[in-house]
Amino acid sequence: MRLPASLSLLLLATACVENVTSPGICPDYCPPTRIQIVDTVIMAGVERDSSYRGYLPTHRAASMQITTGGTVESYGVIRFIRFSEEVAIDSAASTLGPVVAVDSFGVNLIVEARSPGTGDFELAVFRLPVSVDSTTTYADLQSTFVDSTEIAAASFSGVEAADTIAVIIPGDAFPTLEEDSAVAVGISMRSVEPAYVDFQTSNLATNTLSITRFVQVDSADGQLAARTDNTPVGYDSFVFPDVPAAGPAALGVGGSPSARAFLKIALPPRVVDSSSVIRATLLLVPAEPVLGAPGDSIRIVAEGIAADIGPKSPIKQVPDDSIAVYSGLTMTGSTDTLRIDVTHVIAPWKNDSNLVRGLMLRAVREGGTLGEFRFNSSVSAVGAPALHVTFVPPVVNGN
Amino acid sequence: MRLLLVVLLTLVGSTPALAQNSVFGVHGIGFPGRPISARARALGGGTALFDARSAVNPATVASIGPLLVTASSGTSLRNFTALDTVVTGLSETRFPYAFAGTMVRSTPLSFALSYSSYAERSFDQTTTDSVTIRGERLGVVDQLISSGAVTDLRAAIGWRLIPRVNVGGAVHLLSGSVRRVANRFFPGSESYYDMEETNKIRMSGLGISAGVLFAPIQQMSIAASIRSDTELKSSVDALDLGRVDLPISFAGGLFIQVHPSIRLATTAERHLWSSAEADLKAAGGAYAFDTWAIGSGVELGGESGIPLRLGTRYAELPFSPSLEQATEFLVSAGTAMEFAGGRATLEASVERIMRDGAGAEERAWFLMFALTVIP
Repeated sequence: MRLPASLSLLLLATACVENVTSPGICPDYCPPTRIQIVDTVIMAGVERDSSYRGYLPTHRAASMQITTGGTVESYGVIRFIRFSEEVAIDSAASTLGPVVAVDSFGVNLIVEARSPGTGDFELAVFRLPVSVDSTTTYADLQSTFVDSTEIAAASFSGVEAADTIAVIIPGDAFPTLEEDSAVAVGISMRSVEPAYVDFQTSNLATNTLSITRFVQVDSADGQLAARTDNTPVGYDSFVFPDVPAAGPAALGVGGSPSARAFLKIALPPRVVDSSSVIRATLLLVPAEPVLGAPGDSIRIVAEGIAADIGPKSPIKQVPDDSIAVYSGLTMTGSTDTLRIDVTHVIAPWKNDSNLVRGLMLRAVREGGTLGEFRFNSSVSAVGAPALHVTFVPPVVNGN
Repeated sequence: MRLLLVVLLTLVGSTPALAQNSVFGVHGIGFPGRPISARARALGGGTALFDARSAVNPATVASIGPLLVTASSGTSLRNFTALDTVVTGLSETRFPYAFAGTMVRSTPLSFALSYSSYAERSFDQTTTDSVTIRGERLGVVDQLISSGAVTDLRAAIGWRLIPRVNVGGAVHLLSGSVRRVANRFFPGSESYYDMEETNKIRMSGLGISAGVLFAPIQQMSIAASIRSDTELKSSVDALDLGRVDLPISFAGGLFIQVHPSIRLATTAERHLWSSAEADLKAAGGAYAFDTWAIGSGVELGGESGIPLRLGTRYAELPFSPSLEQATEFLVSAGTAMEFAGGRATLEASVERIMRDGAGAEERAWFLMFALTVIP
């Protein structure tokens, strides 16, 4: 019996050796199974849709957009935290003393984006009441963006995204500083041609926006000495005129406060349940020219939703490194159809019938720009949202 | 118990229920299996109608005495050339055949269960191509993988009708599954998702067979069998994928013992596979042909000792991509050794197989080991 047992063990060892991989020699020596691709536009692919505003208020956005020369003009608004009544006299900051005189102020701004292809521009700084807050509107501040309150101006050329630019404000720019201990400024842009510039706000975790005060203090030996102190931002935002409301059959995405749109997708079961969707593109027809700063673009990203509970539907976040793929880009003033890749949302539905068959549209740089895309909704007589779907029908057959 | 353990080890060590594969198995319902023992294989299939441990002629079951169990393992090594494409180094190890049978005490009846491959459908093919989607020309890589087989579970009963005449009948339960994977990759594009689809195709069918074994003189036997299979139904979950009409088969054979140590046998088979063509064509499949097969062998050696078995076989293959029918020719050899006082037999066979036709040429070795025990 020893030999058969040993042989069985030998067979066990050889049983795992297998190689049946070969190149397909088609069509003669390939199976009749064929992988076919169907490419079609499904006009009634969006069953219901709606949009809601207020997801990110202007003063919570990560950027502020200042524009000039376009259909809409906007101003930056920054209020800083109160300055200390005393500043450090010695370098160890162990001795504090009162400010004898203020020489100037400096504000550093980090550029997030600016209008491409435009040349030099000038920033004008205006003195604003320290009472500005999130309830302050463009109309409220119209009277303050005038020559009499302009306290500084600076020209810039060759500025690009991520650059830091500095604006120097004279020391006497804030007559009420002694009483208020605080300052607030408005920023407008001047340019030969329509343009915009976006600055990072204090809402961005990496931003350390502050105002620096250059002062004179009494030193220990009775001489005046130059010192500096600074204080961070208490509130920053941007203001702009009211934007006309969208039409009754239009949905909006973007703008500030930001709007988002929710679309309920209803694809035929033969497409979404039986087939493999390999590419799906959402087609959105603008209801009006894209709103926004002159020369600016707006990127709309589509994300799946984890539960359909209306405007508070939780989203299934798209990774940042995929935004470029799963989004659509359009320009201010454009009336072209916007195409957004939604493959990542729709393709998984085949294998999980519990997934919510809907998606949400939001703007990138949400709340921080004037850019708003308004498109025809599913109730529109023409130009309703459609889906361009490329799919592979089931390849299985009995042979 | 140790004998049974050895059998179980052999069974567990192999991929279940599959048999020899071929490039010609890409078509039709797969490459037809041969429900015969290692001994019959070594003899070119010549004894298929006379060998009690083969599942071709249920009349042979009548000659089974005490309980015996056979398990086997088969390894194939293949190369093929098709349309100027040369593929080498293919190999598979499978479990092609198992058998158990015993007589019913105090009756002229015996019965047997056997497990064999009816059709093998395993391949893994990769092709490259380009397609135009949305006005863009894209390179694609397609991968089609099939792994599985249709198995033939036979329950047979043999009756020693009168001296020198055995008759038998059997019911065949055809069942099996094939795991089918279809992948399409877009290696040069980030815009398209790769497609991956996996299905488990279940297949089922029924068959019946009957046979007779007649020994007009002690040194000679003649045998005949007939088998009729119904349809092979395929489905994925609840989805009916269609059916393929299965053939009626006939076989006849002659066995002569010219000397106590020399036995000759030949078997001819006819399978009417052309009945499947309409169903295969409806599914975009291949041509199907009726087939002839004839195998002959000689066994040298007495009842005890180590026999030498030699055989040859010619067969037509049932499925082809064209109107040209492919054929198979093989030569075979084998032997056997007894252990445990004759209660265990280890058998081995080797076949050199040459298949040609329809633009393809395949060369293969098939090695089979079988262990039979009488517990």
